Amino acid sequence: MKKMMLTAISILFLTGCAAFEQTGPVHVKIHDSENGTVKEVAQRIEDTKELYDSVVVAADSTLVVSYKVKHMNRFQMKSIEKKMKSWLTEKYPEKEIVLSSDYKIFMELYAFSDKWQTGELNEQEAMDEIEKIIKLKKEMT
Amino acid sequence: MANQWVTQSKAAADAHELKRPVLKNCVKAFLVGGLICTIGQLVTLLLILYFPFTEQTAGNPTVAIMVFFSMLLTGFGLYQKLGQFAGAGSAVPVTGFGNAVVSAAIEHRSEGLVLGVGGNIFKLAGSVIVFGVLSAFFIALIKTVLLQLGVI
Repeated sequence: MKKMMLTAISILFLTGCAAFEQTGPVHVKIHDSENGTVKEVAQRIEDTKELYDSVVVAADSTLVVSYKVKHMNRFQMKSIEKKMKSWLTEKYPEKEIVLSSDYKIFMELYAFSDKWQTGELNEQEAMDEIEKIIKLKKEMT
Repeated sequence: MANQWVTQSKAAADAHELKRPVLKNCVKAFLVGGLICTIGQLVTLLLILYFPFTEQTAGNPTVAIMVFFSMLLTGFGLYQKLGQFAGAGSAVPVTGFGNAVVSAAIEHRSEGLVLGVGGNIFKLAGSVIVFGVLSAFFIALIKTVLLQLGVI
């Protein structure tokens, strides 16, 4: 019984840690023209001290940004998102901007960037994948 | 005269009554309630990791799964033991709702399926549903008014 409890508790702790480990930052550009965009956004996230891990995916029509918020700053998640969103929309008014601090979106984007970088996807497939992730982000219930 | 007798007997009874261990009960409730919530967090994490749920959408299925767990435990007679030990720690989280539903159903099984189980299953949990719906209605009303006025 004691052994079982110990195993259960250690599994709880380990899974808890795994979710908040730093895996990124990852920067992906679908079209070559977006090199500057990716660099700028990544720099901005780096400069924001409340955030610690990021995936930035830029295509010529859309910009998807996902980040993790440091634990004690999670109380200000809304205001951080608002600030980032207004900065991005001001900077890139012609793009569709999707911003998320959701762990699932982060994971999906990370998996996508892995696939893109190994060359498994062509441009059309990549855009479809991004569209899928955006749809997942917009789901509310 | 009668009044005096009441105060006297009350004082005599108080002298023999065991003191309620409030602090100990609070600690137990805190620990067990926290453990239940940790399990809920684990369920959320599993839903996010292995199913297409986001942090935003994983909440509802997590509640359903936790209620289901507590219903099973109540049926096997284990949740009562936990409730005996932890008190409010096992009643306040959403698992207490499942326990209230199933324990009422088991209790009234002998009176038949329709009038017994059907009539009494929400005997305890009914108030949760009534006041949940009522408060949701009023909060939605307040939010709508504020939105129309342009405050938020």
